Amino acid sequence: MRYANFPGCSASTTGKAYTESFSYVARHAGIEIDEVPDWNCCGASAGRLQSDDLGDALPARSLANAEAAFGDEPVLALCAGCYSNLRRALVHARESEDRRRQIEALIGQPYEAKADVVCGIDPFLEPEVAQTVKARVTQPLNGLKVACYYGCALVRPRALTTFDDEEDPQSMEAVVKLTGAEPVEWGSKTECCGASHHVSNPTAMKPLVERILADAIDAGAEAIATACPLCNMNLDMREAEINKARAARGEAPLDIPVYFFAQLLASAMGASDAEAGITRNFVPGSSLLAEAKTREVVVELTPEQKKAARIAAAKKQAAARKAAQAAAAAAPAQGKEEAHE
Amino acid sequence: MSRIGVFVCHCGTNIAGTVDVEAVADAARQMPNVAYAGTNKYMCSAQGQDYIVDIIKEHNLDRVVIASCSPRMHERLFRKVLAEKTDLNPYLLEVANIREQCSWVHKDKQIGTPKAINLVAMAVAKADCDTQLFTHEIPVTKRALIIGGGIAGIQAALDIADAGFPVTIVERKTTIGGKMPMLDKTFPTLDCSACISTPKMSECEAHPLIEIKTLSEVEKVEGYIGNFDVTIREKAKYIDYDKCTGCGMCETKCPQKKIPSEFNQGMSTRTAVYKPFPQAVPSKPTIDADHCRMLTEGKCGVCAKVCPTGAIDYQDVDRVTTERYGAIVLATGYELIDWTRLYGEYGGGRYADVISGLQFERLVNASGPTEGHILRPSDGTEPKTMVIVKCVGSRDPHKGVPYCSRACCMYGAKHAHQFMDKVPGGKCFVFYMDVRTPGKNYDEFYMNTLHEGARYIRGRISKITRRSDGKLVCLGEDTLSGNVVEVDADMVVLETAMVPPEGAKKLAQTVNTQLGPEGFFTEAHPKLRPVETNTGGLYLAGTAQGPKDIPDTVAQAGAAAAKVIGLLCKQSIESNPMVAHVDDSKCSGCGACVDICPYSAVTLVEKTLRENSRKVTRTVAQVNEGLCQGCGACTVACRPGASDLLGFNDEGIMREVEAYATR
Repeated sequence: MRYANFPGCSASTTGKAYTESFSYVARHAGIEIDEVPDWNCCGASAGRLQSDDLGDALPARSLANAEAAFGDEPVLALCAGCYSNLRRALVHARESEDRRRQIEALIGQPYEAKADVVCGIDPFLEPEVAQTVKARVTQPLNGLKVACYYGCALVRPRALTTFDDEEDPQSMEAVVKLTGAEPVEWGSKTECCGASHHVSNPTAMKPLVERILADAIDAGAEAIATACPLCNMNLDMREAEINKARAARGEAPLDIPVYFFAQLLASAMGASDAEAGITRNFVPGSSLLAEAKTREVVVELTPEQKKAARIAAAKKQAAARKAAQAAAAAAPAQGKEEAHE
Repeated sequence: MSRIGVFVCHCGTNIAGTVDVEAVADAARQMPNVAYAGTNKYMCSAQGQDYIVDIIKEHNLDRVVIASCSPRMHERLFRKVLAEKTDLNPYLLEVANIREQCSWVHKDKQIGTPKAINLVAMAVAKADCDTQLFTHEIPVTKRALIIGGGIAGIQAALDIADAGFPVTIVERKTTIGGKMPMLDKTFPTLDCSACISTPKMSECEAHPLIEIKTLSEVEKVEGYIGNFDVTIREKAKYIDYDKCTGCGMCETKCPQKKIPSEFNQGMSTRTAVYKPFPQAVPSKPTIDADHCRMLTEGKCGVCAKVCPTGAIDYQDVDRVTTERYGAIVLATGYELIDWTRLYGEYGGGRYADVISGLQFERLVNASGPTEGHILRPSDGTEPKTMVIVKCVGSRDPHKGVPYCSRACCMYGAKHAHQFMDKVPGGKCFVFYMDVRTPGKNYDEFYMNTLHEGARYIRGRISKITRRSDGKLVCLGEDTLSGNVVEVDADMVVLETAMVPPEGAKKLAQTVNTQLGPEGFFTEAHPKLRPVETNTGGLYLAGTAQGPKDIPDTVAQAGAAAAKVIGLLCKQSIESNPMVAHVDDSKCSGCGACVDICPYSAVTLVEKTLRENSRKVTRTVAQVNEGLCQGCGACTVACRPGASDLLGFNDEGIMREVEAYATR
């Protein structure tokens, strides 16, 4: 499968670890990546606030470039913000022919809106890619309990993203399972991480992050997986600060590493910590993965196997009971014989 | 040359306020064929009727045009006047609607008067083409069929049977009773739901004129009002009810014991041979073929061995019968919306302690899975804090349905009351959008629940998450104070929307009637004909027509029964003469009318016709006048123009259009 990658501003900055780990996995899973030529800012922070036209034109220009170079090859946006903005332009262009023409006029180049826009998780939902990844997992993260965190931009609004379920998505869980890890069920997977207030109002943001970390730990998770550079940075970078504040309040620290889901895939596929970008994490993440790889594998039995095991156990029990009865029957006889003697 | 009389009604100021009625009468006098035109304050009053009769006789009129309200309002009355007090055929009457379609929608006489004159001119032109029409008699089969055996069907069946007419109840499930026996208490009186519904069920069983067919479905309906030929499939029960005594031995010995009980909403289990609950009617078990080991795997046969009367019959097959009924009542009830599919934010069914209102009814019921103790399904402990979420699915066009389910506000208040009553010191939070309690003693009940301490919070729950200590964290907003609310609940009850039952659409096609956009059966008129459908002889009872509570359901069932009795009392009924008519000489037998007819009233037949003084046998369309509802679809579809609607013939319509176009 080939994708036209839209790197966005985070690819070589806050989301460098995502880029590195994703590239590693893509190389080994047969995902081929082109780069959108002459791409520009997706307009995430200010584009749409300026005007609806600017909000559509900025992402549409990059999409038109991708279309010109690679036809209907899907455009891959690793950053959730880029994903959301590119999809908005795409959906608007597809919604009405009038709007598509307006957008073409705004960007001054043809744009057919043929190519789809996908996020980092989507390539791994293709059955053949999932199978390749599974086959390439040489160092499974046996039973590592992972809380998959989606944040907002990947799943909402539904009209733009068409995710499986905007309130209880499951697709990242399916991908993380490929590594041998066990996703946990938890309730904060689509709660806001407060990234928009990261700089402007950290006091409003911190309780949101703290809640997500606490909920993940409460649900039994050992690690958090993300698919958005901004969420990842927010959770990973703020953890130490939050723990410091908790210590001052006399509360136990929230100790949980935060990974990009691609880092988990890469590590399980044999990438070194540097190759998977794990060394870049703020909360040290190497030792947990190393430890998970040494865990004993618990094999889940199928219902038929369970039934067979139950029958075997029942047979064994019945045999033991028979033997005990036979022994009991023999014992008094023996006693009699002894008395007789 | 006809002699038409035009009678323009003032309708007080309803018409005269925005239409100059005298000017309309003056204009009418100039119209072709008009022999008389006059006005009256209320044409429908006794004095107005006498005026029409006198003028007809005095001026020797042979056609009548009445310019008044909608023909849906008084056309029947005026026809009756013509039939009973004059020598005129009642179908030589035209009603020009100058009220609903003219005076009510316009504000001044400048616009209203010319439009009324146009409408009258059209009616006058059409009246000239009107022909005499005659009704004929249709015999009535004095039996009624009730589809659905819930409280609506039971009530209708009892009322009709008590009037002396045989009734058949067709029920899809293994017992009649529907949802009502599953409920614990009924609002606002808090009397025991099963105690008042199960006696009615056994009354049905014991009634000599009521036949109950369970595990049965209507497959085909042919015929028309007074004479419906209904094909019913009675599914195999695998038990011979003539031999079975209902001793229950088979149930106690059945080894398949782990099947979720539908009656207890999955909160307890049942066996494969089972009776859903002790008071079920018929009070005999059936074998669930999907779970029975003998029927799925071919081994077991325990029930046959233990049955003292040899009633078990694994070779039992479906029985299909066709019988004739005079009237049909649709009482197919409702289902609750499948919230687990729609509301991921409430856990999507993954949290055992987030339950539906119907599950709560079973929990709090003394014959339920917990013998009436409110215990959490997850760990069997008593919840101390309960959250009730109303409007789950209702009034939610994005995820659920746009309409209000009507009963939830009241049973939500009842659940809150029951929880606080049974759990001393328990806290109950009710999240609501609005509280709607119209009904006798309803608001008093709600106020009482408030005074007992239920905390009503205006706003919806946005998310429910489960903490590791088992608490359900409910996040919501109190929209009155503008604050975010968080409740750590032990149990959450979702009051879910009523939706049409599965198969309603198919049944609508089978019985030839319409469903509204939300999937409930459509009544003939929302106010004046609430239990009739647009198909003659077909009536509605209960939630088949739309969400409602038990009192309304029972009232509507009684009303439907009254309509059925009124029909069955007659030896015969008058047919509607305004039906489609096929001119054999023009018909090419293409069958376009057969395909388009929504009532299956048109068939193709071989007919011997006299054409050009020769006898020719060819295929032509034939209209069953009993089935035809006079919709006119076939007249539009007919290419050679052979099909015409009596009372609305093509010529009359064309003359109307001409009259308008040439003014």
